[in-house]
Amino acid sequence: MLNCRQASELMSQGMDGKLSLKDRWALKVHLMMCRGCASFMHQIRFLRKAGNRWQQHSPSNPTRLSNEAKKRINDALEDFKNGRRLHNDDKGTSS
Amino acid sequence: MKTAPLLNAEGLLDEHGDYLFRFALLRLKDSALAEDMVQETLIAAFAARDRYTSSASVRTWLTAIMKNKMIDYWRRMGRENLASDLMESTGQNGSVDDFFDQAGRWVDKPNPYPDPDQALENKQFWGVFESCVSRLKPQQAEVFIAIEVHGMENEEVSKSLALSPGNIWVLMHRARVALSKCLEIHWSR
Repeated sequence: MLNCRQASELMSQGMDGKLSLKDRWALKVHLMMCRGCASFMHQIRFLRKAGNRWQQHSPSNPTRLSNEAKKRINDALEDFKNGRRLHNDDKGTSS
Repeated sequence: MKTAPLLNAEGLLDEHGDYLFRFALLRLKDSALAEDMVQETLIAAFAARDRYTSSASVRTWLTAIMKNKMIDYWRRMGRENLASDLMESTGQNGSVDDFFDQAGRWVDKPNPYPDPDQALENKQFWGVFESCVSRLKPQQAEVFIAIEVHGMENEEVSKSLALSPGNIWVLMHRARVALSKCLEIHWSR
């Protein structure tokens, strides 16, 4: 018999890959009897949905570089490649 | 000639910039600073491109450079503890011991979220969601974001983080248990 901890591990694994027939069966039996784990199953499905939509809703806390940041970094790389970022040789010549 | 992708600095930015940014952001919690770290890392990598050997993946190599930059940064700020945390980055995985008793039963049984579909349209919910993600241990957060936000496969994540697939399962389980409880407490109650 699975305990809740093991059941939750299988549920999590099942979200990211395929479970063996035996594990799937054991999990099914456990879920029929355990309300807490059934709720956990709903919760982690919900987490997936939320994860998918996170970026659309939260430009304030990005998980990717913004386009502006990318451009800035790109420019800095460009400058570096062209030898313009050697700050020792290039002290305040432009204003 | 297969040197092109590495020699091309813009290629490095396109391919690894977001990853490096997240790596820095999760630890520095400051996006402007994290962007600077990415820039410094890529410039350093480009400058040292001749020293890259293909024994490690490009990403592992870049991550190592960034780690050193962050360690330097924390030392400069007098945060030696944070610097040493990062040096032994295998720690800090967290566990699920707080959530299950010794017999493996839930200490506090999960409850269904009241109106999950509506939550996704609610601005406040996203605030809670973000703060819950940022409370995860760094590696848990990284794995969660890779899999659930960017839709990466376990194997892909395991390669990019240089962790075994088994480690990814464990981290993902911990992240899910911790996040779902955090949301239950701070959002739905």
